[in-house]
Parts: sequence; structure tokens; C-alpha cells
Amino acid sequence: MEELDPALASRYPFTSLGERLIESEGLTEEDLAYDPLLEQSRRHARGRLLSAVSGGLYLDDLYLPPLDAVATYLIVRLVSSWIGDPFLNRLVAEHESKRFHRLARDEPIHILAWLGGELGAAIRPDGERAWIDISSYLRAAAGLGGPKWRLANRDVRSGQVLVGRRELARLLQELLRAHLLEPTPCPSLSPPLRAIGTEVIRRLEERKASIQSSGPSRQTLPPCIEKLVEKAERGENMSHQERFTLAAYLLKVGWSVDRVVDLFRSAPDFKERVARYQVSHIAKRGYNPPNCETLRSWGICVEDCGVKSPLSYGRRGRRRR
Amino acid sequence: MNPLRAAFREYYALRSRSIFVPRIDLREIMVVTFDGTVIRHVSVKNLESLRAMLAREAPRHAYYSVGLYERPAAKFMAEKGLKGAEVLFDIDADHLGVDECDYGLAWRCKSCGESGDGVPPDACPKCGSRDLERLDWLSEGCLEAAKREAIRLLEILESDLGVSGDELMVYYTGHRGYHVRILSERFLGLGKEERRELASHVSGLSFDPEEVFYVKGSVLTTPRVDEGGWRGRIAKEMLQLLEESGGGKTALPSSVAKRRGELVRALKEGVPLINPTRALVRDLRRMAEEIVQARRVRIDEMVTPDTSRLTRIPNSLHGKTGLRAMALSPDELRDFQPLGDAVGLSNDQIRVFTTAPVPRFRVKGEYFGPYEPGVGVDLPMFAAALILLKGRGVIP
Repeated sequence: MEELDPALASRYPFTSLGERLIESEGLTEEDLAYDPLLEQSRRHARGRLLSAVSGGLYLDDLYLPPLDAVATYLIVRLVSSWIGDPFLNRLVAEHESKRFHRLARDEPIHILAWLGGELGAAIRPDGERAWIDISSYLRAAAGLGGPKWRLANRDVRSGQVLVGRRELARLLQELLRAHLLEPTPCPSLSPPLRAIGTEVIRRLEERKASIQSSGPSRQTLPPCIEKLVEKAERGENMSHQERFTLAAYLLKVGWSVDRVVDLFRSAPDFKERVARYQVSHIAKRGYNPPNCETLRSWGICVEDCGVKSPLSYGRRGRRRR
Repeated sequence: MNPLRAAFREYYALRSRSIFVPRIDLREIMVVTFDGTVIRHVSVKNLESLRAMLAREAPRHAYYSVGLYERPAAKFMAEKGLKGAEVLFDIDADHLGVDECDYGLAWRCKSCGESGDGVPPDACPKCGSRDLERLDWLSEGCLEAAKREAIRLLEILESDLGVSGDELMVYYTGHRGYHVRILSERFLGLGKEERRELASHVSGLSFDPEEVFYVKGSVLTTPRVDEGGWRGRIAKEMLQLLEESGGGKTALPSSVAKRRGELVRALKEGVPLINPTRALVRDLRRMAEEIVQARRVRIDEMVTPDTSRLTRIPNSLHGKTGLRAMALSPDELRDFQPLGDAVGLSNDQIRVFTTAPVPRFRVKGEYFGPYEPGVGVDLPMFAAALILLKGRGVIP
């Protein structure tokens, strides 16, 4: 591959280009905390972390020089590792990977191939499209909703999957998210960075408090739905099918749209407007949750509880009592 | 000692060299003894210890994990330290809906011992008890159906996933199915969701005809013959249907027949079709669905995503048949005859007293039965084991 433009480190600080820059500049935690030349990195890092917590998208620092961009990214990661809260980690991973996608979606295919390599995928460009190794494809696409991502509907040959340029950028977003969610050791921080951390914690607690735990009565929930409720409450990333199943079920057993929307509030990519639209749509159409056979094929079924639809589980439960 | 267990022990003593588990030091081992005790979370350092353990314990069932663990003997899954897990596909004849798999079906009343052929009735006709045991049997047709699924699975794994040869391990379970494991490094790290995706790929469950015959505005895009996966399989089979229908041999839906030339070009060269009729789109999608239904591999989809599964140790004996859970190469699989090739027990004669009807069956080329309940018969151990382990007889 041709020589890479070092300026790419500015857009993609997580890559080896970024690492090389840190090494050549001998950047330390102390520099990140105190160097007056890195003041704007600290400011942007704070902005990015707070955006992550509030569910926004921080783009004020898109055109920083490489070193400042790398420093900003490092501070974001150091501070979130220092806080060490799994919910925050998911919010940060969501925010950073979405920010990445905003930049990557317009890159030419060979840059995407390089980025893929940096994220552990083997990617071979083929005209305007590219072949991605199947394990990486699965890691990235397994959580994405929509039939177009399902392997059965794609051109897949000898362990490689053909994807379009835009699709590749989307897949890389997921790989970056997974990379950011890998556990990192908890660093010790100097006071200026700790101050950022303290502010982030305060905002995080506010967000957590705003999520009312509406606490559905657990006894009547079928095991698959119970699992989904737990996932939603923990703020884990849920597939489209999982979200649909959960919303459709809860609406059918009498939950209000508000209460269902609240349940999704912990999701790292939660957007009030979008969630409300989707949930109201399901309510308006009166969709039934999928039957057990479909749930089994979607991998949502967790055990054979002896019914054919999650809705009849509740009914049987009520009758028994 | 129970003569059956003694026969198992003899097998493990004589054939221990054939017991082979790759990376044995990282596996969890589980055995079930003849008295029903389950011993879990066992770890052995090497094959020699495993072979010695089997010869010593002569267990009724012996399993090893798909998972590779840092601490295989830890009591709780979370403490084991999962390093990776082989991808497992489980083909069980019970899920195939094949009539032959009901061959020799019988029942027995657990209260009074009454027995009979066929599906268990609601209540025992003799004592009225509802506690009836369903007794299945093995039939060649049923095992053949399972083998066909396994062969199709291997084809898909090779063409789509690029795994073949020594990246795979195929084995007959010793009962009514086959297991296929992908050993290859690059799949070991896959999570639950990813494994589920692989399962719904081979089983065609996530196939969506609307994606494959895709309509946008007035343009219909079809799959092409040079594509891989289900798209390619559908395109090739459809092209064949279209070409055969040229001679009027195959009946095509009229909507399809009308645009035959254009469809051939679409399937061969990817030239999209303009202004398809609704009937055409519907018929093409239905044909695609039928092709997938006919060629999908009917696996147990609950098994593949589970990285904590255990399956039988290759070449160990199955405690419901006495047959060997035989490791096979893909080539060996084609000609494999479970009821001949997987026999592991001896020819020593033993007397068995039947407690339920036994259908006519063939093992190692020799026919036995049928036997009425309540008769004594002298049989070679390998045939007797089947009757005893299937719960249709006892040693007097």
C-alpha cells in the first residue's frame, strides 16, 4: 500500500499512526494533564465525554493537528478507564464509534481497508467494494439489525464476505466499538484530568437518576423477555430484533409507551425522539411480539418454557394463580 | 460388575489408542457412570491420563467441552477462563421430521411394566397409569437422513466459510446424529451472537428472499451465478431450471417463463430487470424460498451459540447404544455405515431378557429380532447392548 498520510492520525488516533506519534513525541500522562500546549485537547476531551454521557455527538474537534487529536483521544480513554463504570464505557464506545463513522463513511476504499487492518480485520478491496474476512464480518454485523446484514443474504465465498464501501464503514464502526469496550487497566490520574473525571461522574449520576427503574413484575415475564429487560436495564447494546420483541411484548401486556421508552433509556445510543417514534409506531400498529419459533431463530429464546408465544406464558401464569 | 460395563471397560482397554482429543489439557471433561453419577469439571493433563481414566472408570457416557479453558476444572463457568471455543453444529435425526426415525418406536408403562409398539397411548391400557416411557430405536434410513444433512453442512462450510480438511472435525454421535466442529483458530474467538449468525446461515433461517431478489423502484436485481453463499446457490439452481425449461421439461410459472431470456442474463451477468411484474417478483422469491428449504441444513440452532457445550469424546462409546462416537474424515463420512462401522463391543454371547418389543434390526451385517417382550435370547454383546441400553431388556 502507498505511504499513509500522517495527518490521518488526526482523524483516527486509535491506529498505529497515533501510537507512533505518542512514541515519537514521548507523550506522558503528565503532559496530557499539565502541558499548556495541550489545553485545547483537555477542553475537547471534556466536551467529548460530556457529549457521550448526554447522548450527543461532539464534532468541534474534527480538524485538530494530529498530536492534539491523539492527545484528546488519549484523555477520553484515560478518564473513562479511571472512572471504570461499565455504563459509561458503553456510552463512550457508542459516542467515539459514531464519531468515527461520521469521518470514515466518506473515505475511499483503500483507507477503509487500512482502518480495517488496524481493527484486526483482513480486508481486500475489489473495485468500489471490498472483501472482509468472515470472522470480522460476524463480529461487526451480528449486532446489526436488518436482513441485509444477515450472512444468508450476502455474497460469501471461502470465508470472505463482499461489502460495499458505505457498509464497510458501518462495520468498522462496530469493530471500533468492540475495541473500545475491551477492558483497560485503571490508570492513576493527575489532578487536572481527575477534575474532568469528577465532572463526568456527576453528569453520569444525573443521567442514571433520570432513568426511573420502572421495575416490571418479574414473576409473570417469560424467561426470554426477562433477559431482554435485564439487558435493557444494564444499558447493553441490543439488536433491532431484541428491541422490537421487548417493546411489542410489553405494550401487549399493558405497558404505556412512556414506560417502555423509559426502559430503553439506559441504552448507550438512546435517543428520546427516535425511541418514542419507534415504540409509538409498534403501539399504533398493535404488533404482536414474534412467536417462539421466530424468537428461537433470532436466538432470543433462552429456554423451552413450554409455550408457543411469549404472550401465552403470561396468560398461563395468570391462570395458574 | 455389570456385564455391560465390563464390555465397555474391555473396549476402553483394547481400543484406548483410538481415543483422541486435540488440546486435551484445556478441556473440561465430564463422565456419567453406569450408576448414573455425573462427574463434571474434570481436567486431565494429557491423552494418556484420559485414556487411563476411561479404561479405569468405563463410564456410560464421556464428554469434552467445545471450550478451551485456562482452568478447565473450575466449578463455575465464570471461573474457568474461556480462551476460545470451537464452533459446534449439531445434527440430530429427531429434528429432521423423517418418518424412518419412528421405526421401532415402542412404549412401556413405568408402573406395571406393560409395553407395546408405536406411540405411547395416553394411559396404560392395563393399569391406567399415565407414567409411560417412550422408547425409540435406530434405523438405517433415519441415520442415512442425518448423514445427508452432515454432508450438506460440510459442503456449505467449505464453500462459504472456507473451512475444510483438518480445520474440521466430523463425528457420528454414536446415536441418532452427527456433530461437526470447526477447529480453526480464526473462529475460536467468536461470541454467542456470531455463532448464532453462523447457525442461521447454514440452516437458512435468516435467509430473506426480498434481499436476494431486490426491488428498488422499477428495477429488480437478482443474485448471480458467480456469487457465493445462498445467493450463488439460488442463482445456479434457477439458471438450471430456466435452461432445462427451454426443452419444455420443467414447468415454470408463466410470469417467469415470459421473461426467461432476461432472467438468464440477469442470473449470469447481473443485468438488472426493468419493470418486473408483481407476479414475477412474487414467483421468483417463492422459488428462491423453495430452493433454500430444500438445501438448508437442519441443525439444532440452540446448540451452536452455546460455548459451554460438551460433546462426546471421539471414539468413546455412546451409553444409549454401545456404538462408538466415531471421528470421521469428510471422505469417510460418505461411505460411513453407523450400524456396521461404529460397532465397538465384542461378539461375546450374552443372554438378554426382553422387557418391551424389539423390532427387527441389523448390526454388523447380521439381522436380529423381532422379539416379543418377555423372551430370553442369546446375542452377541454389540446387539445385546442396543436392547439393554435402549431400555428394552435386562440381563437376567
